[in-house]
Amino acid sequence: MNSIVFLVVIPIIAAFLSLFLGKVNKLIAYIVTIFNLSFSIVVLVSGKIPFNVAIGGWRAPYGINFVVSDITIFFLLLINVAAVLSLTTIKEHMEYQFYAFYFILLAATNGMVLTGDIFNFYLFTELTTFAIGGLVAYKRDRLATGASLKYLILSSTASTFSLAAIGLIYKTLGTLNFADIASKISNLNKASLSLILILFISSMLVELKIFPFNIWVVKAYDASIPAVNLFLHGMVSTAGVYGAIRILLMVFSKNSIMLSQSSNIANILILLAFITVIISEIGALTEKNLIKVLAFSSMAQLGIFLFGISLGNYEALKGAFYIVISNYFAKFVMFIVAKNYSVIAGSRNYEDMKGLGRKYPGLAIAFTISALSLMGMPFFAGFWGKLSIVGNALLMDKIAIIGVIIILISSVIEGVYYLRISHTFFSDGNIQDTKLSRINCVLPIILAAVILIIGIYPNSIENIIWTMINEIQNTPEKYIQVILPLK
Amino acid sequence: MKDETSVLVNIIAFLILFVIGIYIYSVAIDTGAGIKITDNITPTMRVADKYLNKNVLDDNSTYQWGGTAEDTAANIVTSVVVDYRLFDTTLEVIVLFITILGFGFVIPKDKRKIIKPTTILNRWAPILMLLMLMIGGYTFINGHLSPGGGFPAGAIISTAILTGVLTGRRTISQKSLKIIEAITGISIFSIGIISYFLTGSFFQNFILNDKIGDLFSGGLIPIFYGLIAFKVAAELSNIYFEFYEE
Amino acid sequence: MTQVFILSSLSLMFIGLYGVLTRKNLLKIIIALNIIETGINLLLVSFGYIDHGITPILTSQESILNLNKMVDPVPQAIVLTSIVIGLGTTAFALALAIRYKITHNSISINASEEEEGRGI
Repeated sequence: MNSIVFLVVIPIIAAFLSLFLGKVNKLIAYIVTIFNLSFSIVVLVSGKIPFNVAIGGWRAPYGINFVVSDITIFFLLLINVAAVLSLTTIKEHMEYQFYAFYFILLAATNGMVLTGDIFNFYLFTELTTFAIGGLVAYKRDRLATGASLKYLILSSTASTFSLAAIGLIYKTLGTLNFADIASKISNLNKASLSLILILFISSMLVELKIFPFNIWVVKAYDASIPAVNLFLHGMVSTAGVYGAIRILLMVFSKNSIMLSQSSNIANILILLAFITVIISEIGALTEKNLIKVLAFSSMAQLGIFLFGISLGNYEALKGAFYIVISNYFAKFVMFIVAKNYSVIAGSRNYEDMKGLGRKYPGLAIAFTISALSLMGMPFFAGFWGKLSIVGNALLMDKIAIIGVIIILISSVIEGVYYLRISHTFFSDGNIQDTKLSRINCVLPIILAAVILIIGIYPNSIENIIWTMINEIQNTPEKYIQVILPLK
Repeated sequence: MKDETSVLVNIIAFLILFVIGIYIYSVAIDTGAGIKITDNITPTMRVADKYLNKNVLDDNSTYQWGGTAEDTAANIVTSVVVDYRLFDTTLEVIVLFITILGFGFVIPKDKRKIIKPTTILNRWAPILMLLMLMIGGYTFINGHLSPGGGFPAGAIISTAILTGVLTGRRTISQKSLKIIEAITGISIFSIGIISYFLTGSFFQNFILNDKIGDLFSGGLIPIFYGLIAFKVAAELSNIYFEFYEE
Repeated sequence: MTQVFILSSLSLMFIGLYGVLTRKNLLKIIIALNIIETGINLLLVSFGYIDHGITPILTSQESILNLNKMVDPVPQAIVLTSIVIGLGTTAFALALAIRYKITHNSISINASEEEEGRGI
């Protein structure tokens, strides 16, 4: 399956071509994205997973390699589906630069998931940074310029730290390959490992929207067009989540299983997750701009995810996966609804959207379903995630129990602001007669139905999640030996 | 900026840096078991050993000056950059492409005045440009034998175009720069795809059996460096032309 | 010798970080970012350095016999990439700063914190 590299190469070639194609770009964007999606499906059904691809013919620790395992293919599908869904929200004509940035973003997020080399991962992260910087600045007005510049400065500062970490890894372990690092990491001094991890995590926290590096999030969401909101949510965050799982749980975990509770890094991450959740819930509660509310809420969800993976418990990890999936679908629904409603109301303030829920009930019902799922109401997708995390954190030590309290309080706060918004949608209000094509209501309703199905029959995805957790549990057999076969 | 000298911000920044410094120092003097960041590790203990000995494919192979090897570039940094880790370098080209595209996208297109160049600059410009082009060409053609390569060569070639911009000579139009950029970019990846169809893996070197130290050695390295040089030159020249609108 | 390199690169990084943390002027922040990048590049090269090392370039048969005296080529390759990334970041950020000056009529990073429509 050496042809997996096409997933990165084809979008890049499309990016060069997009300089000349003008109005055809939209079509090319669809073709390339659907190619990526169908190629990942072909890889999934081909039954060859897991496999390792050596680029340039140089074997694993020496050359650069792409790895496809169960986790990889799952996130690959999530990212490419997100790309297709986001493209459907683009109605107007876009300048060619927009599509060039989009193609690079597609290539970079696919590459982040596929790559098996730490420096290659860093390069893909940088490409994502620049593509997002350009996309956020697309409107070129006051808000967009400020947001893009802040994002660029923040992530460049963070990425210099991770470059230092890569240098330290190479100096001590003498390799840049994920699998090789994972097999040698137990030889490393504990203090040195902590330093390297702290430096390296910083660049991932930018994509994960965790506390010290999340100042950009709300501004970037507010300043960018709806399609870019969906790119940021569906592609960049998902790739960031993948990076956290792969690097924290599989590469840099001592004793080859998980971040143990005793290590300081796990405690630091849990603390950062707490701060993120508290800050973002308070921010969302006081905010009137619907897009900003959603941005704050996605920060909070990723905070809960980070708490779930830092606990060092497989059941809690299962919960973290549920949180990722429910947040992935729910935020898609919410951003599309927010986009359509803000077009009709002519403003992003949700108090101006009174009565829209009566005129377009499909969208408002889909929004409410997603909100209930994010809050963790029983029999919605988010419920199973919060249940696993809370249930397992209760059995652990003090810091985890504080986390449980924070998650429960945050659920209540989420309930307050989301139901307030839903109530506004359904309350009386006079609205202008703006035509909204009914076709816009189809996608959110389908996605909301997916959330309901996952909530009622969690077994439908439980097997997939356990396959991925199984890969994390058996990192030496399922990941390292695929890349570095025993001689 | 009025609050740039704020004492509080400075004190907080100093405290943060102090904590980081103390932390790095404490890691450096740590005496726990295992490999430490202060340990003296030589390249022979790293993957670089295989790059230096050119025996990635076959553990026991050795090579001679003037003989052949798995990678025949005499400059080992080049062999790492453009052969063993070629995919990184192609992505690096994309980084430059995307940032310059973003640069051209966000920079305001307002009128700029062009100051007429002096006679000296005007007369000397063609000679200077010729010299710069020659040095640039030399740098990328010999990139696999001596220090140099595609990126510095591209920067040198673009200075020739900068000289043209400064003297007001229309050496090349922005449209053709864009075409050069796209063609070189596509060719770099097309070579990757061609080698996929010839050898079965992307970006594999399919020109074999040349001699270490020859001008035409290193397989695909001179080709890649040539393409990269022109691409970098076109991209950097784009920046100068953004300021050249009449 | 390596210690001197590492100490000076660390001090460059600290100077740059201090600049990024305290300055309000966008241009000063971008310059500070550049200083950090230079520090990192020096740090990476010094990680690959060995005492009395020679350049990893083959010139004759004798240099092939001295392979274990050569410095590590991989950090140099990484630095080559990181220089280009630094260049890209600087170019993009400077262009955004020019646009920022037009839209905000100021190059203070605090200017965008003010609400829309209020004078700065």
